[in-house]
Amino acid sequence: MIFILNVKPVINSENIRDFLISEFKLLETEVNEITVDNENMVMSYEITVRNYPSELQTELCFYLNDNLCLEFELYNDLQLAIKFSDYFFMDVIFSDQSNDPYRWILLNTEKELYIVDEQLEGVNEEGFYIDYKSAQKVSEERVLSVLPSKDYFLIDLKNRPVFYNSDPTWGHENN
Amino acid sequence: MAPPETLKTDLNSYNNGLFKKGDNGNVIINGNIYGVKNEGKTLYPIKGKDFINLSNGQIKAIQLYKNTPKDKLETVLKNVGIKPEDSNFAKDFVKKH
Repeated sequence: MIFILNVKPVINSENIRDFLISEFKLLETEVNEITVDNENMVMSYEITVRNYPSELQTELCFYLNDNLCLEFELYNDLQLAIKFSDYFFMDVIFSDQSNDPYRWILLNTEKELYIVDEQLEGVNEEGFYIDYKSAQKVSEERVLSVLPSKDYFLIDLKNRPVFYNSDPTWGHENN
Repeated sequence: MAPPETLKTDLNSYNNGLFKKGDNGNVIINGNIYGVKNEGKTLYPIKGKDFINLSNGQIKAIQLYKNTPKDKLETVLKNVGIKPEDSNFAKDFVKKH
């Protein structure tokens, strides 16, 4: 399973490694970047710093096999975002898993959650910037209702469909 | 994901007003369903006859095939644990596109 988080600052590899070792009680030899050849790897990660001006400068991908997701009870980006935001004390933005590529979920340092849109016009349209005017506050329960859960992981891999958030009411929270 | 030729044709139709309004603010162009944002200035594909639903694994595998140096590719694919079918899909996809 892949977990993808977006954050504003550039974070170095050592910090990500320390975070994973601390949060998942892993050994140093079990965590590393995806390009490192290591037989003992349990969790790998990839840091991509956007090479164009962006508010969200860094994309972080975390790779974990499904059995370990079940063992760690980690089923979606929100669960990892909460751990990440607590550890680094920073806002985290992740996909809402809908087929709208411009819609995201923001978790801020106050532990509040918002559905937000990406800026599509103006000076920032080429980069990854959030349009905060679009923000709709949502509960953790609501976010969890549209993301993968343990049940999804229990579906046999061969029969598991592509997950996407198909809730037609998502993003119309105040209507 | 929608094939570039389909997108081009559908965008032309949209710009010429040849579309119908669908549910949830979506539009239907040549039988394909698109989401609309930015007061109609941005479209994104939802469902259509040539559209493909890609999983995160498939998208990531495509990016890795495109961006990873050849000498690192084997290590990277092993470390990320992408399913063999996603990996094969990505390989074919990169060849085709």
